[in-house]
Amino acid sequence: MALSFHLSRVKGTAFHPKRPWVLASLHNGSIQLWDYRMGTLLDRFEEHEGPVRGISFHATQELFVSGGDDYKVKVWNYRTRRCIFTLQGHLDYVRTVYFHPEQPWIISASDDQTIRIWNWQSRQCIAVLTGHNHYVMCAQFHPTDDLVVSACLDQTVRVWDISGLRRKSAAGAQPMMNDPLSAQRMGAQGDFFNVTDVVVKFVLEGHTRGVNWATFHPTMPLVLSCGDDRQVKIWRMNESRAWEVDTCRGHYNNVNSALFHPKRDFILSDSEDKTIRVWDTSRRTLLQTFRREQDRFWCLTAHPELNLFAAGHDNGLVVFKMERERPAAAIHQNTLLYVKDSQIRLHDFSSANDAPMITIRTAPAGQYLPPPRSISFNPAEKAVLVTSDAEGGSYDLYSLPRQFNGQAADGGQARRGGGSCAIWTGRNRFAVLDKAQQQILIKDLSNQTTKTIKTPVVVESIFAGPGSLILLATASSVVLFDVQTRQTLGEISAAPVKYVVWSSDMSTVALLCKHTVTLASKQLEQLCQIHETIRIKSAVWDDSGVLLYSTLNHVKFALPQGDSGIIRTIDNPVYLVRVQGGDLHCLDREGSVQVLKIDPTEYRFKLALVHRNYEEVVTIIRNSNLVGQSIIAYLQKNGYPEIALHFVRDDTARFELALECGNMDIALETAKAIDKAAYWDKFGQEALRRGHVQMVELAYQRVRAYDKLSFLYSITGNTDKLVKMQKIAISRDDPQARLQSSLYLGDVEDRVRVLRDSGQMSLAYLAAKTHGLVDEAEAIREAAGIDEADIVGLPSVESATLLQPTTAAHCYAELDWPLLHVAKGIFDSKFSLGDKGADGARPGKPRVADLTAAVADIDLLGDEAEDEGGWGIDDDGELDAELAAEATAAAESAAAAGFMPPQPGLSELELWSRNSRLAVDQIAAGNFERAMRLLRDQAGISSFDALKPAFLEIYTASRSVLTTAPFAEASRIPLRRNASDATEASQFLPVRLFSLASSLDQLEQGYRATTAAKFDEALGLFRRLLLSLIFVAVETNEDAKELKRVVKVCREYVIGISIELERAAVAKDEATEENLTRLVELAAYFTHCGLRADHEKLTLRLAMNTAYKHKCFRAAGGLAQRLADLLPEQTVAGNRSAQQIRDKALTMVSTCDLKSRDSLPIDYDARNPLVVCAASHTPILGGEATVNCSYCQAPYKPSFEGELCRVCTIAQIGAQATGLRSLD
Amino acid sequence: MSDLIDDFYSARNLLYLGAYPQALAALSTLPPTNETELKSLQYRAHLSLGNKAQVLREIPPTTSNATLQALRSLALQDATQLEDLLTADNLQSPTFAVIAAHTLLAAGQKDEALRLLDMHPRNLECTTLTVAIYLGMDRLDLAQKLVARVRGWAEDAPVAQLAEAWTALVEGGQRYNEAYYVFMELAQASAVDTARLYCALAVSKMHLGQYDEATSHLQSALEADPNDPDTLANLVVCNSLTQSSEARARYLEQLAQVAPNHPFLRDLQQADARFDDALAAMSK
Repeated sequence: MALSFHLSRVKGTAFHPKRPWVLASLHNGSIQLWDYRMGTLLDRFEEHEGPVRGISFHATQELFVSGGDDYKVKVWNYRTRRCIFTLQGHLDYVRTVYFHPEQPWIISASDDQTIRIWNWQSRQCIAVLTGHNHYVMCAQFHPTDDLVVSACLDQTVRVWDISGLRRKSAAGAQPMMNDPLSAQRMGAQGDFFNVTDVVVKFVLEGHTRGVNWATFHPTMPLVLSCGDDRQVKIWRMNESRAWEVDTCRGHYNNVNSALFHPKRDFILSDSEDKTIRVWDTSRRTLLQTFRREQDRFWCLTAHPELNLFAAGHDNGLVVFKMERERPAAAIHQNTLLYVKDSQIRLHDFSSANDAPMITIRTAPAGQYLPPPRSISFNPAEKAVLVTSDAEGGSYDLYSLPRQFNGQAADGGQARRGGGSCAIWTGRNRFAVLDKAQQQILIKDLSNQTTKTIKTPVVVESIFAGPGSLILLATASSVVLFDVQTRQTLGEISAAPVKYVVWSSDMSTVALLCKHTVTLASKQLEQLCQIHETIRIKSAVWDDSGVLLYSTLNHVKFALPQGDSGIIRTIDNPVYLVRVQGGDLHCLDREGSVQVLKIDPTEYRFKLALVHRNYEEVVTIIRNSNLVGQSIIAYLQKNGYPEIALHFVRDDTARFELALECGNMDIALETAKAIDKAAYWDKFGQEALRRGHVQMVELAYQRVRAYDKLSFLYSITGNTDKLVKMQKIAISRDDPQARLQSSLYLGDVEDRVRVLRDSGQMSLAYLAAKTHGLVDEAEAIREAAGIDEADIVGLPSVESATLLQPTTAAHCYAELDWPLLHVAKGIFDSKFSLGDKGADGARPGKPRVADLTAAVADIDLLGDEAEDEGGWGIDDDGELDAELAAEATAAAESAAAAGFMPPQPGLSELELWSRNSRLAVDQIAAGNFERAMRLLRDQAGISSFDALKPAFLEIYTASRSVLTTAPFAEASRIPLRRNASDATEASQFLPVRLFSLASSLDQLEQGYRATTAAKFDEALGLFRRLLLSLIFVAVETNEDAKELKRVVKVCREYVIGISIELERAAVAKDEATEENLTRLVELAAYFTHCGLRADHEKLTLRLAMNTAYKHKCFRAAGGLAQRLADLLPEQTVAGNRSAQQIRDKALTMVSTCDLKSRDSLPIDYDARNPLVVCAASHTPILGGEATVNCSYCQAPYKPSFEGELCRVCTIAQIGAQATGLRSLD
Repeated sequence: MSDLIDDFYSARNLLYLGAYPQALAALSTLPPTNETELKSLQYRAHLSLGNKAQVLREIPPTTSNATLQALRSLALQDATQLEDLLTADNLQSPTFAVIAAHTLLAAGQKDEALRLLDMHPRNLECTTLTVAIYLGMDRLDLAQKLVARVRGWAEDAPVAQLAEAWTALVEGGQRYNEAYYVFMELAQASAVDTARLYCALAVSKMHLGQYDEATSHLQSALEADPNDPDTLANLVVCNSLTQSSEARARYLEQLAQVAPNHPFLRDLQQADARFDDALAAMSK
């Protein structure tokens, strides 16, 4: 049961088809609208007098309809919250009201023994269905067909055909009764109306008491009815008749309503016996009973789309779901295991493959098995624990097939046990909670209990933790418990925890409760807690350490620091399982995996801020359009105004932010852009506060604050500027300002002049007189025309002191307050880079610091050296002697103690050496001499120096390095090439370093280098490959042949490229006839090196051109013919460049046929088959004697026998060899 | 089971997993009930961290505590000092036995070390070291037997699991995977990122032939300790197997710098000499 509302007696309920609303019509006459997700009352509609029994939402419009004991049917608009109109006509209580799913019709059933159909658009009654002869308790439309079913206390259920009514309304005919009064009048005996519109199709008789409810099956031709005979009956109908199929007996009081489960084969019924019962539709067996202690049930409704039901009872209503909708799921690395349709399915995130693995336990016939609650996966053993509520809590242990073929295997041999939670706590053991006994059982893979642990607290459920740790969830806290040591390692208080999600590195955990998410460290120290008003459904950790969680209608994020926010809204609840980049994988309630697109930018941004990872912040700012007021407000609020600055384009906002973070440069820039007095004032204040004198000056200048400017100049001792100010004052004709300036400057003459000019003669005189400017004073006096005798009360000059302006302590015009030098923030540099270019390196201080640090380092080093010198190490010789003595003593004491130390076993290297006849395996085994002998015997290899690096690499790479016990030396563990199938010591073989596959890769590289004419590089590649091919071990005969082919290819390329390199060298030499002859010859020989066809064409073109150029027409013609033969007409069709080459070759053939002679004495005849001696690069014609290299089989003239092969550089030419063995 | 779990249980586990600072931290919070054990664990962690000088400074040469004296000799790698200490009384202490065995082992006296360890068949540290020695002697059979026996009484104690995983690695075949999962589980359970654990994970992956994954574990190990010699050695092996000779040469050089005396390099030098000998023998 999900949610309970306490109201007075609920007689009717209705779900809104889309929104989370449920309407309850109450016995006290009120209709209430509730939000069942939030559990809040949204509205009340109180116009009915007396109980309201019928209630129904319209499928699409903002309407609902109600019917009550006041005989009225009311249609309401829930948005405007008022009753739109009232349909009157019934003469007794109205029992049920419903909208037609498509037509603008309402059906109502009444105690007046009639059923009425109304058109709510014309607001008129369009049909009165009469025939029942008692109270009609219920009448419903068929969801798709033109049928109505009604239930009546006359013990019958009737099915009506209303197709006539539909035909009539489709024809646009006027409704029957225009006059509501006449409608009322006719209501009671409406028989003579609309007889043809609505006809009784079937009368279902079988109930022995009154029938309270009847309803159709949504898809099948079934009718369900229930009544005061305490029975629920199922009826089937076809075109011509209807008959009773079966009866569900079990209620022991009146059954008030019943319905078919919209999606599953269940029947639900509710009764005055205070129960809701669930029946199996096909078997008619009782599956489950929900009982209430006090309250009789009156009505039952199913949600049209979701798995939700509402039942009204004496004291309210309950909204509930039948069974859990959360698919049980577990995640392991890149895969998701989940349960759907009684199968455990495996979903691969990377490939989106989804396949069933095994079938799990299904419900036995006639019983109900709740779906699994949770599953726990053990990747090591490929085993799954499935926990469900069946049998009061039980678990099943399944083994997944090691290989699966896309078909679900049968998991029938599951091991089973009782317990409310079962989780893996290790590779080979799991913990089961026995809630009743309050103990945790530790079981092994065979389901045997190995250990029983009494829980330290009263545990509600348990969750897996890292390793042997588990989480015990109690009613008020979560405890971290070690099942091995039985210690409690941590505790955190939390509301009852429903789910636990660990981050992938197991360092943080999210505890999900109904309405809170708690993030905690692995020691269960709380990091933060987030409260939600609605249900929290699931959560998943992002790899960066952000928790994403889903509520009923949102996907949100939570940072461990407590920040959270909405990522997106969702329509239906989903269960998050994994997040990767912008893809959020989740399971929906149908159990299918969905991928939701999310924008992770915001939380990544916030996370980067929290971690002060400004590089990332900058990247995010650059690469996404993350703007908007909210993010700016966020930054400002959280103390990152300097970052916010980079989001904002608006000057005023930038200005404010710049002032806030003290970035005066940007403030100045924006102030200039805005250029308003108010901003300059503000800027000036802030600049003054921060001591940026020049900026203050600029601000004052901009707003023409002369007084302030003068004062600023005076206190900074900037006399030049003050003089300028004075001039400005004169030009402005502002005597006050002039006077002030003269005071600041201490310029008495000017002051006197100002006073005189402004007509203040007396003051001017006084000033002049006081400062002893007698002439001036006289001049003033005369100008004023005043007799000296008339001037009285002058202060005596002797008592006067000269008013000097204070001198500034520092008289720097550019005096800004000294600021600490702060390295440019990443933001400044990153963002200014584009505008200004990078700053030059700053010389001076940092270097000094570096130097000092370096000096300190040296000192430290010195100390250490001394330290070590202090340790006297014992003389080695002495030590050895003592050791020897010790060893003897040890042996003696060992014997004395009766302990026989075991003899060392056979080392794996020794095994390898015994098991294999391949040289490479002998090398891996460290048996170099044997390897060399094998190589010499098999391939005639006589020079091993070039192979030394390969020998050592093969030897060292054949074993891994692992330190076992803390102080033991690192030991070497043999790596085997047949790891999975070798079980006997006699089968072990060392890992393969050089494989055929990697050799083929290198061959490709060589080809590419050849195509690109990088001959030196290609030669190196082929030579190296030739050397490594000695060490390739293969498993099949085909591979051995392929290996031989690769050797041959390498050899031919090495010979060919060597010829080409010689040709290139000759081409550089002086163009003597001898050299030119050699040039043409070499070019021609190059074409005989068994190269790949495309390379051969290149060589042919080169040789042809060379021969032609040097007038060796015969040779050129022969080569051209070969080239043309390589490009047969049919294959070049459509390929233009090939066509051109062919044409050119053919032209060459005909041209050369005419001339048909060689001007140089070249030793080449295109028609003679030849091989090229790898040493002398001269032709060996067919039939002439050759010797071959014993390894690579390169051909040589007999004179080279016994020498080292020029091609592979390791084998002897003409040595006796059995052939290199590569197959085990 | 209960006698396995004392106050030092988790610190000891951390020590075996190579999480020395964490082990020291765990030890620092313990009550000084058993000072010898506490000190011995602390000094062992310090030794593993390379603080040899500190250990020698703090343990006076005159100490009467046999265990600490054994630690001194372990620090000095000097088995001769042990001779007088190997008395029946002292050998009653499993901790002493383990430390003495380590010292003897370093001096190459495997048999003697085994004799000491054999006296404490129900001590995890002793049995684990015994397993390691058996494996070093190519006596997989003995190691397997011992591991099976230990499992009977030590259940899933991390130290016992380590021994089991080592054995699994040597045994090979289907058991490589098991070793990997054990290391994985230990890493998760202890929640420490040590080079040693990553290295062990990498070794398991190498044996499974998954060199890319092994390399990524090794890189994680280098993050935990950029100069971990075992990791570097395994990187050399891994890069040989994946034929990336440049990386191989680089790591080989780094290994030669940080741990010129590493067994891997010694083995390589010996192999080099053997190659020359073989060459000489061939040309005779």
